[in-house]
Amino acid sequence: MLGFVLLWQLGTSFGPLSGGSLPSAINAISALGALFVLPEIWVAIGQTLFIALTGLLISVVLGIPAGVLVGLSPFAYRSLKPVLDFFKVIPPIVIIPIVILVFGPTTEMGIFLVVFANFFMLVFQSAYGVRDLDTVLLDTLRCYGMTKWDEIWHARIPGALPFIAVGVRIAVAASMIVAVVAGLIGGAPSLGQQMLLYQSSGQPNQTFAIVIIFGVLGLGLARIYSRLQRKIVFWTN
Amino acid sequence: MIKKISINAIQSLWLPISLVAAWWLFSTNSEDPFFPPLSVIWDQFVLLWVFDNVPIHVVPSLINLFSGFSIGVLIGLVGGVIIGTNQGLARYIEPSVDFIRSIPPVATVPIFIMIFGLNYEMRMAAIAFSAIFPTMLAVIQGMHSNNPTLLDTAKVFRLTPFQTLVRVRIPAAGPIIFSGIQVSLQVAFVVTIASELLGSGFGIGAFTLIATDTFMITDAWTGVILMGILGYLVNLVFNLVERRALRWYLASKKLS
Amino acid sequence: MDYQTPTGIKHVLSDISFSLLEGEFASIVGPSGVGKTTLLRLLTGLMQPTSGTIRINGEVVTSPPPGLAVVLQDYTRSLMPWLTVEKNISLPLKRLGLSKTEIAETIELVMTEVGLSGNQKNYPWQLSGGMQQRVAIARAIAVRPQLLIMDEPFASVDAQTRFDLEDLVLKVRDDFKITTAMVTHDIDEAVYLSDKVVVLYGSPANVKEIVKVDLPYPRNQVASRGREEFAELRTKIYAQVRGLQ
Repeated sequence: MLGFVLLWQLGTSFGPLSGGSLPSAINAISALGALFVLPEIWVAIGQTLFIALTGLLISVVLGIPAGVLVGLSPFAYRSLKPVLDFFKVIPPIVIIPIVILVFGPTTEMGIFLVVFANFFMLVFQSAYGVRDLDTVLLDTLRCYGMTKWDEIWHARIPGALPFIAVGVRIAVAASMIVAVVAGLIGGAPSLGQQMLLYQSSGQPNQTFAIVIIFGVLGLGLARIYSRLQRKIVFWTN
Repeated sequence: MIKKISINAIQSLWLPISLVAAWWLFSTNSEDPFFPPLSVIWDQFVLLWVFDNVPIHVVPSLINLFSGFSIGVLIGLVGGVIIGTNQGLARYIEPSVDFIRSIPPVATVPIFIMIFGLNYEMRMAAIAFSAIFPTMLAVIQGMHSNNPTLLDTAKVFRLTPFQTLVRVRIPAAGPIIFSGIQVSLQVAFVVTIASELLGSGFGIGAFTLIATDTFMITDAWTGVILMGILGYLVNLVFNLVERRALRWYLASKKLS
Repeated sequence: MDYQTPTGIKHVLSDISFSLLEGEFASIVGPSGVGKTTLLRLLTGLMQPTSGTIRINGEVVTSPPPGLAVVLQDYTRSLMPWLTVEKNISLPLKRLGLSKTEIAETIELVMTEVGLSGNQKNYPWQLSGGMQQRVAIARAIAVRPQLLIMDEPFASVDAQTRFDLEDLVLKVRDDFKITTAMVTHDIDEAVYLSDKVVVLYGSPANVKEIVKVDLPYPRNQVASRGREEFAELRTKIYAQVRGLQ
């Protein structure tokens, strides 16, 4: 890690990028330090996290139960699959122009965007997980006299948890990314919007410093979720 | 046989068709400026995009997308192979790669604007840069997950390191690498649009931005719909290519 | 108990007819792909015959009947990895309406019987392959089944463990007298464990012969397998499976 930073510093001091607009490592990192003193930055970080986490929560609370229900009904699954397939590959950035018109550059817009990004994917993952029950287990349970309800409650839902966990992991990362997009491009009050301000007002060090903050936030969220996942889906390696 | 295909078709299509029809009906008399009637949107869509504006906006966007994507994936493949097969090097470079990967790709666009200005080079650089990392990480993971038995077998057959790499290790990691490339594609798509929304010039994103700014709502809707369809199609084409390339993997999965 | 079972769609089985008396242990053998697993699925009620009927205690089987227990080859997939061993066993027991104390006692009993007492709170994946299969057997005995079906239960463990598990089956059989039908590829195992061996052969498969195994109880890996009758029986059955008789 240190080696990379060194390379960066050297590259900007002597290399082809020197004298250009790419800030040197020292400048960016000291700007980072300076930024942390500013209350606006902490507010902006909070806003970004608020958009990401609220959106994540809403999409999880709506998406997973819906997905489980869809997965339990073969008819619903077959009907919805094309719709889900279509929407889950559309990056939310595509709908930003319309969403900005309707919501304005607000926090709500950001939350809506995050939910849009995650909802279809979570529904799909949950449905898929519920359907994908091991036939060996299913046969065994049926032989032992398990009813349909038993099967759903004791086997399908726990069996779907690994898939759902994967979906949530993707959603955690996506929530952060989309929150940034909402700020950067949609103008929602957040760190992304702050970054754009810095960039357009010609403050490269601060702009770069914010990039570093994004990286740290993203990594942090991912790590926290990893620990959580290991607790919930303890039987998978 | 035909009966089975048509039953499948009906099951897959009844819902999307009904949704679109419902949208059409509910919006027919809409006076809301933000939600014009679907019929109006459709007319405008045909007017704009059935084929007049395609070379002006769609083609540049797609060219940017594919060139940037290709460059990025290439670098990612080569870099990933080098890092993935080299324990020592990996230890130095992987943490940094991991960190860069956590940065939302869209957030790197302002950096590139700072370096290159608002031009074509900026877009290329941004798209390529963002496409590197998903592929690179997938390749690294693929190299790490190479089955040791496979490698031992290659050694017994006295394959050179290069042969082992090209004919054993990379194909074995095929599924992982392909899923990484797919993520690279999706990221490249997003960054392409982002670079247009933040920058200027031609491209579907740019078009939609101008339409939104000038309150030409119907035009903006057509832009959004077009981007959505393109995003879906690009993914679809990729999946077809992937299915062809990974025939062996998919067939073996079916048997297990 | 009486089975008359024919066919799958591809004429997998036809003209199958044999009966299993209470407390008997029958092995079903035959060449690969002849339809042994299909037959088991018909016996358990997971699959319906296209013609003919299956009866257990005179009742026709249309779905998995009560009093059924199964031990399958792939133990990693038949035990639920998110439940402890004791929860895995107690799940079918709850269906039977036993009280909490009765369930706990039963679990203790069967775990001791299979030699795993003390492992109740472990998760299946924390145990070795042989131990996991013992858990599956424990679960099977716990429900006091009318009929125990086993599908190549020892095919996925190593040879040493296999012998141990075979002896465990004999012990369980001795203690609980459960009627059992087992599919196996291993003819020695079939002769060692059974009262009779049903040989399937042909396409579509039919019952080529039902061989009575008269080896005395209690059986022993070294002594029983060393007897002359053992060799005769296994040679005869093996020849039939290979189509040489």
